Amino acid sequence: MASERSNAVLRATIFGLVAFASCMAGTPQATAVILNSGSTNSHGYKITVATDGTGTAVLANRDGSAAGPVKSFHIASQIAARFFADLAAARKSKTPAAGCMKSASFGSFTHVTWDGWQSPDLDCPPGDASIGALVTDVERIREASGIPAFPLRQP
Amino acid sequence: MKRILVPALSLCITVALTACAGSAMGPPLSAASSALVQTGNNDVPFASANAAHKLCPAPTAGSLQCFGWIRTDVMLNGGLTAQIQGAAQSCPFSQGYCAIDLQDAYNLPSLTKGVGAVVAIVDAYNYPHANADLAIYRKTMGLRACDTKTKCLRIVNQNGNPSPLPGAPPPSQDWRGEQSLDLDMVSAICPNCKIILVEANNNNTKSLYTGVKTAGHIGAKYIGNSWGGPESGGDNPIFRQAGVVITAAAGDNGGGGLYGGPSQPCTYTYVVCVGGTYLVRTHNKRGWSEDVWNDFTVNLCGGPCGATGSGCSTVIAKPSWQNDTGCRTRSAADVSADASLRTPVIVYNSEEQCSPPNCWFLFGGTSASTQIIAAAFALAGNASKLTGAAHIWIHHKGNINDVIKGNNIDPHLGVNCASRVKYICHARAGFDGPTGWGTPYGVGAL
Repeated sequence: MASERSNAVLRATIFGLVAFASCMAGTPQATAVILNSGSTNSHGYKITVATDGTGTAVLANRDGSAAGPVKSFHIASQIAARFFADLAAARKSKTPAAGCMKSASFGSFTHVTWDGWQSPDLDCPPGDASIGALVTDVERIREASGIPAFPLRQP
Repeated sequence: MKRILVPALSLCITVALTACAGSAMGPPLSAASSALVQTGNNDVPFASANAAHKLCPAPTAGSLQCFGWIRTDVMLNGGLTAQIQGAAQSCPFSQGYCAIDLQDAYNLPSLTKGVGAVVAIVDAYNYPHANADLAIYRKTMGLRACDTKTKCLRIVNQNGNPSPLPGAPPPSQDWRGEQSLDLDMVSAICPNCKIILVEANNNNTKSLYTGVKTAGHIGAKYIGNSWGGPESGGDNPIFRQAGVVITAAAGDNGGGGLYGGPSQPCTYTYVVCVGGTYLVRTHNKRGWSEDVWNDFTVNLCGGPCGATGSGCSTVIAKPSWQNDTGCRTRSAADVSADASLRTPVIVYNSEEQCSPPNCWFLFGGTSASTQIIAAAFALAGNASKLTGAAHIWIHHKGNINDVIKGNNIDPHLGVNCASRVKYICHARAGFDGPTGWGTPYGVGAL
């Protein structure tokens, strides 16, 4: 009985230490931020996603300030894992960022910032498959976060 | 022309708009009842005071709102509907500008000119409801029908073929909103024009430029491009098509800034670069007044946002007809029209978040002004004689509403124009960057 208890304590301690170390060491990599600029006719948004699938989302003004309440959401761990794996792959991409034309009044810019790296503009056709995968992930996360595809501004 | 003619048709239309639509985040811009006036032979005079009321209650936070008003003093004779449709314009909305408002603001001969002229709109991706949505807009505004069945409206891919049309835009890109705005603005200004909607495969530069080339090849004499990107090279021959007027948006990012600066194709030598204004009704001879569009300064952009673009090109030489002396390269813009989301235009789009037929939205930006100007050129009908914006630079006197107030600076960024080119960011009498020579007063400058 005592042995079982000590094993449980040991397991809990190891788990706690691993979690703590992971938390401390992994802080820079543990969260990614998706930022959409918005346009004349639509609000932008800011979505923060952690590796454990938790996140927050908020509509944003042009200057980055919140344009609504911050809402929490949760995505499946597999989706989060894929997102961060795709981020790692996209960061290694050697394909130059593809520019594109924007609708003057409906066009926006979407970037993911993660661990000191910023993605190319995801509102342009992707330059390669790794960026394409990231576009798909971001769309899935945006949808899960409750942010509409086009949060229209209506005066 | 006066706003809110309210012929019998408008009663029919407003009744059709009974349910509430369009997401609303703020209070209505203005009440329509006080603006209802009796004008013209086709008007239905008011039989009593307060003869109109809003169809829906004021919106609450996060709720939907409709813009419909209903006359309570007249009954529609159903048999008249077919005769009236297209014969009289109306504006059954309390907010935003209808076709009749824009025609009036710019003193345009929209009902008598433009017959047979072909205006092309070049955009990216497919907008499956384009034909049906345009039909609702035109019917509601009292404009003659223009659809794919009669070939008044043609929808083609970037190679000029009716099929296959491109795929839907990615979920994050609202090119369908853009297309609905473009179609409605061309219709509002030139209801007698034919329209070609060219849908490029995507928003790659190459695809959209191919669409512009195709538009000229398949008969358009006026081509509106409500899109752009950073300058990345010199003039492109696609944008110099003999006998074709090509307009492009100056952009919505102000005179420099985070995403601002000169925008291509707007700064190409032979493109008419179109800026934006803030257009309001005023008790003056014209009945309207305009300032530079700059919503950056309003509510710290918590609400409407954006400002018209302008600049000195970084790659395009000074065209021979531009005689401003501060900017040593191509100055942008050449001309302008309403673009502020605080003075928005009314657009119908059933592919936004709405429940048809309650899909009326208020849109703004130089996307709107670009198509307004393209269609105004079509009313003038001088494409065969024109070289880019030269005509405006030469014939502006007496044919332009000079916009002399405002600037397009983003106060968050504090980026301003150097003193030598202050007029590129600040309005003044005569030519300036944000509004060019100003907005059309008739079509004499076009």
